[in-house]
Amino acid sequence: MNNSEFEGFVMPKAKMLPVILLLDVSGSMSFDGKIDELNSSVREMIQSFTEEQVIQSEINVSIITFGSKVNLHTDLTPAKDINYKDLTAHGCTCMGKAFDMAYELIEDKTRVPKNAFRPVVVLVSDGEPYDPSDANRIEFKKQLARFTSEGRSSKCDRWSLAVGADADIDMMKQFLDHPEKEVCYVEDAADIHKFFRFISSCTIQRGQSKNPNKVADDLFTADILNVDFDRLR
Amino acid sequence: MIYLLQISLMLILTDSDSMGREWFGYSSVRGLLHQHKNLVNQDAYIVKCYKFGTVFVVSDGLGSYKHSDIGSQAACKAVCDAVQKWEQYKDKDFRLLIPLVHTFWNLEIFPYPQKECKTTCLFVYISKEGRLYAAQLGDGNIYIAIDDELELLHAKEDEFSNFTSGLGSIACFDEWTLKEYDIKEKSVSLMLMTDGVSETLIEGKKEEFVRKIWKKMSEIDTFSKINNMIYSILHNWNKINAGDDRTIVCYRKK
Repeated sequence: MNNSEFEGFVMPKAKMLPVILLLDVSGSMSFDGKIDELNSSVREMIQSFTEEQVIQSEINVSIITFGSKVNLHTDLTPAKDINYKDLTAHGCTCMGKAFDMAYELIEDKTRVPKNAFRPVVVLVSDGEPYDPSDANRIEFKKQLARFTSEGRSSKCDRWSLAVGADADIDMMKQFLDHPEKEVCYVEDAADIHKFFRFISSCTIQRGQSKNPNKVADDLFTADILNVDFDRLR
Repeated sequence: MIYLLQISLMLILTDSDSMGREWFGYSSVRGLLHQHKNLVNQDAYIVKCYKFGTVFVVSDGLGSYKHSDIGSQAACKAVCDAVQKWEQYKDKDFRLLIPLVHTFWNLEIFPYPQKECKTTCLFVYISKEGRLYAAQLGDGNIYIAIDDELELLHAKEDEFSNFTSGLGSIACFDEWTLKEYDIKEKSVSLMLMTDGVSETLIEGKKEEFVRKIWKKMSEIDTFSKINNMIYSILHNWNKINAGDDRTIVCYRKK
């Protein structure tokens, strides 16, 4: 048989496994080295994705930042092609608008194709959401509810990291997609990288598993900051 | 890696006035991710001819479970046992086949726990009476063409789903897709594939792929050459999307 007759039927690229980071860059993140630690953690995560062999899934990363304004820092891009530019912190915490931007991104089938694997969405914040145009958080509640319960974003694998005692843990718990998941809390900015290492390892493991849409049940209750990464991989 | 092949050679490429000419072909290859992890092929398939008809099954052990390969092999055996039992009933309600499959599967996997043996199950039974019964639980595809009218039994709709239905993991029998056809005096083509094939084909080219295999197999005069062709297609899969195990079972009758 001439094998070339059956060429061109299989998808030439691996399916996308999107990782969407919603990162707090409000003014408070500039204290205690938090923003520096966040920058080095995100850099390390992107590097770890770059080093993985691409079979079956290709990890694409998008970074949305929220401070006084919401900014699409990085649109969904294969990790190997990202030239990461450090984030700077200033202003308030317009988190709700970041949910809206992420919602639109995930709904957009030209950016997250229909055959993509279930996206990972990570929320990192060190404070309560605050938008001067929505001081009573009426709009924010709707934005959070829409992101977590409507459309494609409701089906995403969602994780959250609270940095320091001022973070709104209850709200961040609502962001999660599974009742057994807990908000990862770090008191010390130096531990931010542990959370990102956990997310990186889970994502790589998912991308190379039989069903990349499935998150292993035991990860829901994992002690995120003390994971044995070799065992996880 | 075990394939349950129990096909009667009498029925391969037969050519008689009563039943027309038939072609059978099947193959399965282990995915690259399973090769790297030194895991067995967790797909299984069977084509079995009885005096009352022919059964085709493909199953895909759901990954990350300890005994997924046992579950998928048990699915093949369970469908065959269920069809044999079902054929003894006077009132052949197709729906009754499903609880029979589950019952035989549970017996077959014993003493392993259900949750470690979860598997998809896709099957077609063609009876000598001229009926075709198609059933699907979980991912994968069944393509059926009757007098050249092509149909996909069940199209996947749920995006980002982290839950694949399977034997050992359903809440009710409604999760099965069932369809029955009258095929008396009609030509029939079938293709059953696991998701390692169906999920990696270009969406707009799936039907062309299926029809091309059917066309090629009917141009080949021996059973082993058909299987070699299917093996070659699966083996030469684009490496970037060859992570999962891949299985195709096909049949044609003119």
